[in-house]
Amino acid sequence: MITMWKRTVELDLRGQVCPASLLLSLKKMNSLREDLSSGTVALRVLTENRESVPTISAAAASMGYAVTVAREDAHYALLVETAGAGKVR
Amino acid sequence: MVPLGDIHIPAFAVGAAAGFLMHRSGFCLVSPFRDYFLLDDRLPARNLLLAVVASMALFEGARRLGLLAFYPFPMVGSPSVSHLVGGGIFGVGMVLAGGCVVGVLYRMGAGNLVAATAFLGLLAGSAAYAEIHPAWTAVRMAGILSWGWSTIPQGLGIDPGIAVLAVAVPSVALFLRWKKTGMWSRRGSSPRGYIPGWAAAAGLSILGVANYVLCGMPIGITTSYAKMAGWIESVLAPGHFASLAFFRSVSLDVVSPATGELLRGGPAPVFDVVAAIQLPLIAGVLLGSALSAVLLKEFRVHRKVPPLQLLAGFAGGVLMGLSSRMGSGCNVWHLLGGVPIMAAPSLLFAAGLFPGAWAGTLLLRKIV
Repeated sequence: MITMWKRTVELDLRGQVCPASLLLSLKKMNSLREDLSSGTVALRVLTENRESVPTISAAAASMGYAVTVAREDAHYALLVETAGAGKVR
Repeated sequence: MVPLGDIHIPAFAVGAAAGFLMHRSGFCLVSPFRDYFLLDDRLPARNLLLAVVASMALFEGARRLGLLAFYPFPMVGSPSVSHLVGGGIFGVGMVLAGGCVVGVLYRMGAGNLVAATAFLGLLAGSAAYAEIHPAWTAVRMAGILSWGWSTIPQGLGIDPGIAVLAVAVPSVALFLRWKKTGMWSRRGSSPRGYIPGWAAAAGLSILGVANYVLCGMPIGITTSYAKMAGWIESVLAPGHFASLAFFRSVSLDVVSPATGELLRGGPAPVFDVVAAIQLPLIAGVLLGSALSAVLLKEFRVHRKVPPLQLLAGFAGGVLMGLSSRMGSGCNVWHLLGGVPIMAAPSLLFAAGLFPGAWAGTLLLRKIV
């Protein structure tokens, strides 16, 4: 079995409010579309804006990505990646 | 209505509960307008419609039970084109600031810097309005629509209950249809301790009627922003402050039918009845959201914010401060106070919010 390692791109949106957080996440997802789709890249979005957690994860899900949300310290980390491909590094 | 001396306690309690609820749910009165144009997302608009219709039913129920000291509540005023213009400018401001006058408060309470700059902008905008107050008063008077009534039921000559039923029955049918088709939620993940938007909308309606019953009027806070601006100006430029007619004007001047007390107040930086209601409400929203953030261990001030967003927040705050005086109230006052009693000034303000929010989204796209 071949394990493909993914590169993680981080987008730190802590301190930013809606809809800037969502718009910047969408911009990043679009700019990384090919790498995200091929499974070579995972996008990690950091936000402490509670309103952004459901909106960003819903937008990513509607684009066909898998989203995992985790609480870290005082903020949330949303991992956006192609479902079922590779391991995140 | 409780005596004046007791107003600040229920006002603080309402504010604290609203701040807690809004922080947990991320409830926003900007997104119903903004996200419709920006993202074609209609869930926030559904939540707002629920809040308006629930407030409508609760206000009418309270009126029928004889719990309301005033109906319509004081400071509704006569409809004027100034309400429409005020709503338009407010719409631009709230989109730029990323929150309305209450949204800014609860986000600031949770440590957000953009909201804090928007709050400063709100004070600056209120001070700016004082400079144009005489001219704008002339515009407002000239723009008064001589309908001879303030609310739709008054205009139609019908009992408010009939008008409420005419709106509530089809709305409830729509709400049930949305429930059946799963349109009250989105597929995204939720943050810890999350309260869904529909529950927050219902909760805010209950808090709104509680404020109306206990304090004599719906939730509103922007006259106190003008008071704060006036106080700062009186310290920094006392000579200029003394020359401004706005800070000597009176926006509330009624006698409480329950207690016989004269309820008089306005933007002057003194502790009058307006301050007695609004300042505890403001303190409550700030502390309620801060408490929610602390309990969730999410209170944190992040200093690395793009300067352009801080600038947009301040500019949005200025526009909201200015236009809330131009339109005789903010979005919360009009959307969750005036619209539920079908007050024409509030309906005009709400109509202005749509083109304003649309223009705001065009600006925002260029900034972000």
